[in-house]
Amino acid sequence: MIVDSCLSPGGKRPAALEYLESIGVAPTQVVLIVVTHWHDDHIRGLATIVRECTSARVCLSSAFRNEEFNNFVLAFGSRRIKTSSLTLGADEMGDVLEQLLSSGRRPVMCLGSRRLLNQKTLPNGPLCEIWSLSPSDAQLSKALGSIAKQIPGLLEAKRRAPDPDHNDLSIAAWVSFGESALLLGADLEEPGPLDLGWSAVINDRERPQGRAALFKISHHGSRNGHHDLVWKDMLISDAVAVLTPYNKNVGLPTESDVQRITTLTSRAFSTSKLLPNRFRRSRSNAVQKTVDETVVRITSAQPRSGHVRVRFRPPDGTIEIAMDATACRLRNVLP
Amino acid sequence: MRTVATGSRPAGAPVDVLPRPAPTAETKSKEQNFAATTAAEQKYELKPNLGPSVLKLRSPQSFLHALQEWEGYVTSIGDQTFTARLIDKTAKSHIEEETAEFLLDDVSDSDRRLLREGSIFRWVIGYLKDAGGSKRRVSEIVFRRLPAWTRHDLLSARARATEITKGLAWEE
Repeated sequence: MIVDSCLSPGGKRPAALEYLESIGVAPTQVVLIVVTHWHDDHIRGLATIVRECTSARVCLSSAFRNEEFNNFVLAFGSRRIKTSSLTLGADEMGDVLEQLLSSGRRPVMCLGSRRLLNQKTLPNGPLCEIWSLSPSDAQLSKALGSIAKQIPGLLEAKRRAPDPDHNDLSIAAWVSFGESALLLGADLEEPGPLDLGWSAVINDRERPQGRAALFKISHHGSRNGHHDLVWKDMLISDAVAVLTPYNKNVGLPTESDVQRITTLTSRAFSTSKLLPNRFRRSRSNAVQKTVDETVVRITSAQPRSGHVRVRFRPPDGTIEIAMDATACRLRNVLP
Repeated sequence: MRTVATGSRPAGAPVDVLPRPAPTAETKSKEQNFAATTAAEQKYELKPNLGPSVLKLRSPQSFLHALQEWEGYVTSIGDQTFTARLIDKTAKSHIEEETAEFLLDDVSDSDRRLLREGSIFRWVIGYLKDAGGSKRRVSEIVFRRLPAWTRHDLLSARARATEITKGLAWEE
């Protein structure tokens, strides 16, 4: 199973495919691809994954059944804006849709409490179930309403596609195999109303029950992505928690996020540290000086690419955690 | 707007838009030194970053030697600043590598109407050099005047969206 996509540090190939190939798993062995949402940092290289994982079922938000939503994606693609470096998200999704259409592959719709997979992964192995937990019906309606307002109008100056609000259509997923389970939070947030975000997941009586031993923390550990009842009702005590840091306007996770999460679990990890450097690359003195004189603030937007590997060892599901040189314990994530 | 002095003047004579100050001994000396050595550059550093609106007044003989160039798009607009994600074009990157916050005051008046979320711009840092050999370090933000969405753009996107939506057969 592959959830979302980013490029390897060399920037050429999807990191997921590189990793699987490094452990001897061919792309054709992938059975499921889940596209949690179409933010640029979640889908780079996705079209390549869909193309090479020919046996995989592709799970998409039910929003892609909506013509208006597809119209939004295609309108903001490079074919119409002619600035390909800034239309990445729209182009990747557009490519995925075109591939699915041309190949006749049938996408799987993701909504709250929908089972995506139910099979044994090995002949004598445990039963594996994968569920999508979101978006809720209310979340979907809200997102589609918002998208409709952002469709460009005739003679409007072209621009890049606006980022979705509140990660409305983000797909959280539940994976269980035997007695073990993991919760993948994607970028699902908690806006407040009981029928949206994490509240909708927690209150959904149809969702799979049990407690996960591993939590991929949603929305880079932000306060917006946090819900106390997720930790209380959906996770075991001292669950392993992993997040990916992010630099948009504010670095995530913040210091208070780190404090909050590390009081909930002692086993919290980050795929990389937040960078203290303002620039991703070194710049000449003249450039650095001019930047200082021009901008209010500048930060590197892309933390280094790292990974945290969590394995559940049979027969009792003992957890093994390994980090590469870039990853770190969450308490050390801040510069 | 500058006003030109009116009044009678010989036909064909150049008009001083701004009256020249009388040359001092120092400026006379500098001009002589400068003229004497054609390869000489002014040694004193001029203040950089005079703002994009001033830079647009560059003379036809000047050119910008770019040291660093980004392409960016606006992600949010505040009361006094706007934030943008930047792609390093000098490094031929294809992903956003930096996030920066700029002053709204640094955007030229003519570009202000282009400023909205998703607007695309170029940010160039370099040396502005003129034919006389002087140079100054500058920072220039210019919003892209992308064409408008045409009827063809919108109809073709809509038509393809309809084909894709109807053509995709979802698992039940």
